[in-house]
Amino acid sequence: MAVEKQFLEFVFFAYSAVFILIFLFVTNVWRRTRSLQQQLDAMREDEDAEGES
Amino acid sequence: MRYLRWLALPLWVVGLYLALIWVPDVRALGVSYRIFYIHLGMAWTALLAMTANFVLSLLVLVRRKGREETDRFAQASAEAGILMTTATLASGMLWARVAWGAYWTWDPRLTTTAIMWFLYIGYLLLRQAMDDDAKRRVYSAVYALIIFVDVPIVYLSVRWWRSIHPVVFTESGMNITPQMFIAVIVFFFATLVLALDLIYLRAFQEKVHQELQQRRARRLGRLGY
Repeated sequence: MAVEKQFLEFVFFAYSAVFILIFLFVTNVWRRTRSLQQQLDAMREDEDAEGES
Repeated sequence: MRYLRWLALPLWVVGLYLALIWVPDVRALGVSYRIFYIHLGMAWTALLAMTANFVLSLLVLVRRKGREETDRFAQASAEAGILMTTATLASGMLWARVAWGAYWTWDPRLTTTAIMWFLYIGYLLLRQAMDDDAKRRVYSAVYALIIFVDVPIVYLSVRWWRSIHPVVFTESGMNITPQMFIAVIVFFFATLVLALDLIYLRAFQEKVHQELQQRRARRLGRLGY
């Protein structure tokens, strides 16, 4: 019984770890995308300003 | 679509409750079989992602309109598929250690899944190796169509060859109880939602990245570099 409880705990932590890892990975992709989007917006603004001057 | 991953969180919590508490033990398998829920959900998502890669690659070759966009989604679905296949193999190995006494055996299901993993890693490497956008789109799409042959083989391997890997769907019906099936479905949707979010995000990221590169190149050109 103690072994089974130990194994259930292990499975619980394994499930949670897998989810957290994938979730963090997706969040990291989202952050990187947002950073690239900001760079692109800044570049567009620069180009617009250059065009006007 | 951008915040789809937050939907995965409650699904995952409900899945955890169902898989670890709600579903009764299977006496012959002990508690170790509970890895099965996450394992199967991820395996199904991986196969779906590879199928999406196949369909999108076919569209890249057949359709003229929106090729760039379709190609970006094809790449993103291959990446999500690889991620899910890696998690499937890892969870399967943990289960195998308990159930079969070894992390790895050259069982047809395990072997064809490992081959699929290597083939799709090759797909990403092929894409990395080519600078010309048009060539990369066509060559990687053709390669994706060829390697997709392994995906139905992964599914059918346990039916075609002698295997010790458990089979859920047989000719006589489902090999699991309705309770187990509910837990599997919840985990499947949790991983599917995460994979869809990842595919959308990666395709969008690639689009922004490409536009940024083009604008940088144009700017450098104007400055005389």
